[in-house]
Amino acid sequence: MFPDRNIVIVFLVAVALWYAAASQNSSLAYLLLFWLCSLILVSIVRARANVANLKITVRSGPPGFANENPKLTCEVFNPSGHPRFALKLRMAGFELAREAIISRIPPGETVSVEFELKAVRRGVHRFEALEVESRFPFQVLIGRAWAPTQGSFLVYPKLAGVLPLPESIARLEAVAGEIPSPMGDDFYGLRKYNFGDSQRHVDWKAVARGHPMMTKQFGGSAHGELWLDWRTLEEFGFEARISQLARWSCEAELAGQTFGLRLPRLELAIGRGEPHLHDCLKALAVYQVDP
Amino acid sequence: MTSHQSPQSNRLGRGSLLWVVTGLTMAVLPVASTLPIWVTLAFLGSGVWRIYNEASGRPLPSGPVRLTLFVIALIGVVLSVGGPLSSDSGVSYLVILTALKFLELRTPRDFVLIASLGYFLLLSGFFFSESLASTVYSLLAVSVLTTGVVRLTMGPPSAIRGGEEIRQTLWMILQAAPIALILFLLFPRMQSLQFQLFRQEKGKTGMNDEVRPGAFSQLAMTREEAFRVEFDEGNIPDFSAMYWRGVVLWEPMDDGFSWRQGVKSTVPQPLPRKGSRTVWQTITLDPHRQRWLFAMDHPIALEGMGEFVAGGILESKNEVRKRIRYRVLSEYGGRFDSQDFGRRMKEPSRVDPGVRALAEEWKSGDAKPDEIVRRGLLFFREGFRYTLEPGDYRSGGLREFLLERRKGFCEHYAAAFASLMRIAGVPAVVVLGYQGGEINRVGRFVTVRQSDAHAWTEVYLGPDRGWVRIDPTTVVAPDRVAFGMDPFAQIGDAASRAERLDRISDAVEPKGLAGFLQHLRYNWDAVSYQWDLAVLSYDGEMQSLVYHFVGLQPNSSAVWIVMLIFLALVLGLMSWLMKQPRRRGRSGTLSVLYRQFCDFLAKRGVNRESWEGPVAFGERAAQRLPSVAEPIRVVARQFAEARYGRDMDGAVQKVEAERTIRAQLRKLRKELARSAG
Repeated sequence: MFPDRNIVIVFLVAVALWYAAASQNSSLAYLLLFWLCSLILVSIVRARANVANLKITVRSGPPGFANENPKLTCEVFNPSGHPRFALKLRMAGFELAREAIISRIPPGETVSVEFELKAVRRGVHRFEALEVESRFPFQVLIGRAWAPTQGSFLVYPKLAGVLPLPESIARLEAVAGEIPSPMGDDFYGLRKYNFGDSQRHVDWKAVARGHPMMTKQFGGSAHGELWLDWRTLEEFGFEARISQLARWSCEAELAGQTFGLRLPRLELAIGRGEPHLHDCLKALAVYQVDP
Repeated sequence: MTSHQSPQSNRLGRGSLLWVVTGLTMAVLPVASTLPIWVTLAFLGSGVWRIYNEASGRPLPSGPVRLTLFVIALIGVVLSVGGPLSSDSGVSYLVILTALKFLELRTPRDFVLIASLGYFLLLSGFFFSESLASTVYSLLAVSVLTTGVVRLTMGPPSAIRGGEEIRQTLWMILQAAPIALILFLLFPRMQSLQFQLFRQEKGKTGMNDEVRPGAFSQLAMTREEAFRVEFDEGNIPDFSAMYWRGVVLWEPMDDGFSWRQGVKSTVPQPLPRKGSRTVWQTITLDPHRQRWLFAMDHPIALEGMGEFVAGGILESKNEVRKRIRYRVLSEYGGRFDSQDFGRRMKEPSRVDPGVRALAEEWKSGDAKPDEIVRRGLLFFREGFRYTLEPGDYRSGGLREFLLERRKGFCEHYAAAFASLMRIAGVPAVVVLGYQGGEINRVGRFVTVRQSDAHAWTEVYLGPDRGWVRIDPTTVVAPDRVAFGMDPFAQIGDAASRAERLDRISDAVEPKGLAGFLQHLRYNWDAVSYQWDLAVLSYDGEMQSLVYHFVGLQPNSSAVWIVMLIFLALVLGLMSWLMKQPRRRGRSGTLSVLYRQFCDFLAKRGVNRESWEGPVAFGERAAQRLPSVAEPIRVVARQFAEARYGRDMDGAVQKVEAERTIRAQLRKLRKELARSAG
């Protein structure tokens, strides 16, 4: 509970009313004074109750990049029997790009608001609590409360760098017309299930849809092996290397290229697809300098 | 399920503006009559302009424009009401400042400021009227202002249901009421605080300590209340006995048409005479900024702050600046004599020969004082006319009144009669006060208004008869005294006798609507009388009674402690209540509506299985009741969407869904009722 500086105005009015009441010995002026005072007292209780006891859950959507504003969804549940008004939410330790305001939460209901934080650096960001603030009901008193809400969200590295995607060895080989080896680990098609095939290679999803059992076939790198390697970027700074690798990862994924990521003491095997890209970007996001 | 609301920096929202402009207008209206008309118009214009401006989204006037307007307005007020601050001109300044504030009403801070100005405007309204009606009105205005502030804090209107701000404000006022009551009863009132910034001319009586009937061409009288009288055991004396004694004027001035009070002296209280009728009365006197304490003629004992002064009248030690109460024992029904009168024989300083001849004529034949009085009254019976608009007598004075125009009201007759008596050698004085009043049968009290003001005379008829009240006006206009002043004030001399009779409180009971209205008015008067007693006259003295009642010493710190404990209890209880979780069963409107829907269909034989979702159930019900298939499907779909749907944008759409469901439920009932009937 914090008074706004404008409470001085209200205070002056109260003093003036008191003066008028006492000097005129006027019961009505006293009545007006006590009316004002009691409303202020009630508003203290109301302002507190308006922000207290809210249950807040924060859901993070797909991670964004470090130069973008991270977006979170904040679900505010009002367990009490009275509606809440004009709630302004803040997240401890983060700056909001836009104000997050909820106009009204009816009793027993949940209202969501999107949280757009100001851009933060890459990595996993933890938050401990949300601050709820409201000037309801009288503008001059600010009700403030902390709602413990633990969680975290991930921010990918900024995509940057000017270097083109390194040519993969495999692509050159593919151009040369080499037939993919049947024992690679890149999926290239389905064939009819033969007894004895590894159960791990059965396309169970198709089975679940009622199709006959099929075996997934994997070959070597269809497009060759593309390694995005930390060591190839020695002339750049630490963050620039991370950004360049992140950018390459995205470009490779966009191009449908399989790729792997090599960082000092960390290697992500050749792969493709959204989950693979996510793994790579996450690895880059949390990668720290050696101590 | 997200709600986006961008902050609107310069826009306050039309809702809150409308509220606050309305509230301020309400605050200004009661004092509008005391303002220069242009101030009121500027205020209204500026308020309306600000609302229009908000709606059209145009920018507010720039700083230099506002400064120019400010200077012009200030000069205007100084020219209209004068520079120095007094209570009257102060209100004009306040109103014009509020009007100017409208032009720069931009931030929430401005908003709080202008709402505060509203409190001052209402406060200034209290200087003009303290009645229950104006108090209720003021509290209404201040509630409207409060609603405006609450609306402002609620932010943009998108998710706020209509009337939400009213509900919240009313709720808060209800919560505030007990706190206000505690403060009102226990907050120590400062008795010693007598400093004043400026004095207000609150409560002017139509009465002065002199009469100059010749100087006024007409008598302006208001229905404003002067005082209220409650008689012990409710035995209200006859209307004709109700002369309320106020001031005695001892000295005739100039030609005898004007009288003044002259020197006063404090005398011991007169004792009641044996055999006379006495009555105790409790009088609640409105402030009149004089020291007179009115009482029924003539008072013989007083309880309360005040003293007897020469002439058998009561005076307060200080000017009566606030409503006061006192108890008086009065003697009535017989003649009275009071040893302290002294014989007042002084003639007017210059008597017109014609007037002297008239008085000398009454004295002829060595007439006794009572014979002189009788002759004098006979003289007034012929050719005089009672009117409230006699025109002025500035040049002709007493002679012109008595011998030429012969038109006037009570003050003319009292002053003239007393002067004539003095010239004829009979001691006489003019008495000012009130006569009659309105008997409120509901509250069992008498309301005496300014329009009941009256002047009469007292003459000394010798040691055995003492001083006798002679009211020459009764000779000229008997109804004036019998029925009160009002008929004359309202319907003039041409009033029919029947209409006048209607005015008599006790004699005639009006029928029909008039009776109902009168009854209503009596009830309202009775309530506001209680209000006056309980609230307006609640002061330090009454407060000490309350302290004693709860066992507290006045002026002790215990008072503060007890008050703070009370406040803490109330506030603690309130915050505990606010903390309570929502009660089960009274869940959101949506579920209530859905339950209504299910119950309704159950009555028609379609029971929802516990595992059945709204859409499946709705479909089944629609097939069973094909005549109302459409509304059933709509309700089921709306409920499913509002409760489980993904793209519900917070409260707004929920409210809309509720509205749709409600409408469809109505349709459903109507349709089925029609098919059944």
